[in-house]
Amino acid sequence: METNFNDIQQLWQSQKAENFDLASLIEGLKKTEVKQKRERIAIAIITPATLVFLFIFMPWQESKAILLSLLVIAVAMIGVGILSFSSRISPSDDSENFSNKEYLKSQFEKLKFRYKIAGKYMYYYAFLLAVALNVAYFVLLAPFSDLIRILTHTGLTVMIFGIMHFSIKRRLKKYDKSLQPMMKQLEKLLTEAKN
Amino acid sequence: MKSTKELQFKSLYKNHKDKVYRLCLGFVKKKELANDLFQEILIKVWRHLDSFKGESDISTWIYRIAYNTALTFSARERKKDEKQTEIPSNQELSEPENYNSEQEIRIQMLYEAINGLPELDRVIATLLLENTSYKTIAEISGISENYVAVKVNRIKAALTQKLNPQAHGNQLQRYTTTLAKSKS
Repeated sequence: METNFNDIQQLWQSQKAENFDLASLIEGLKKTEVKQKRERIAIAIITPATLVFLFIFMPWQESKAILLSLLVIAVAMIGVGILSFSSRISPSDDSENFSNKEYLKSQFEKLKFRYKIAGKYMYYYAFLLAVALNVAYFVLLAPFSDLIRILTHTGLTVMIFGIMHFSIKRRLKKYDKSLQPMMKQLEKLLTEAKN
Repeated sequence: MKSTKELQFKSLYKNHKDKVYRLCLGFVKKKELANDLFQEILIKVWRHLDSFKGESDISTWIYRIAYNTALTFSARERKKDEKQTEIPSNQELSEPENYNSEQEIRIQMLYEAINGLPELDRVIATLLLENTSYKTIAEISGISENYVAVKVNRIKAALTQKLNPQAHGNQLQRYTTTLAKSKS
């Protein structure tokens, strides 16, 4: 029986890894790498392509208001693209660079940031989208009566904020179940590391 | 034809698989989960391999990935565990394939003892069991070398105490009986 630490060490080191199908794992990893690369390329292409499309087909030369609207949409889309890229699509989680303490801290901050994106930044996005579309509609609806214009603007704004609000609430509810317990555990580990 | 990355990965796997696998078994109670964690670590090693610049020792680099992954894996699994119905503690232990083998039972007891430590102590305990220097342990865990030394003393005492039958009754016999009961 293990009466001193050297014996325990020997016992521990006597355990060997089980046979593992490394070839299949490498094959799967290579496929995933190709897929992720495609996803990153798609994101890098879709946002500018949409903006180029909008600038080609919208009559922004005719009205400064439409130009402003397009610029606001561009800012919002680029903002959301950067946020999603940094929080989820980024290829590294820094596990290779950080010590346990730093890593726990970075993971905790990342989860907190995901909450912030859903609970705060998406409302900013909704606001920018509402402003941009209302500016564009302001110009496009010029020939119509005031009542129609007011109703359209109100309906559009309520619709944007309504859809955004419900999708944000749904996402936060999901996060409360999946991210919150993990954040608590990470917080506990961080406190443990500080002591 | 195999790429340089693939060859490098295979060589790393060959040289570090046992250590990494033991770390997995020290972190999670169930063998299937240990295999999942092992796979998750291998995936991260593969993904980060291109970014390895040789600034630190390759073993330290792998350990960093392995322990950081194990900590978040363990946090995730704890969350799942809390959701599940309470299971008697003896059922949670991974059962050795041949539970009559004394060596297997001793190893199970060791895993159980390590598993009973707080997560960050588990990091230090498993590194210590692999003969890792205090300097490397401090580098991986992010705490000072002096504090590592303090923790090491406590951990050594705790593990020796748990696995020493002279001072604490015949745990091996009790463990065998528990396993036999859970089998029947």
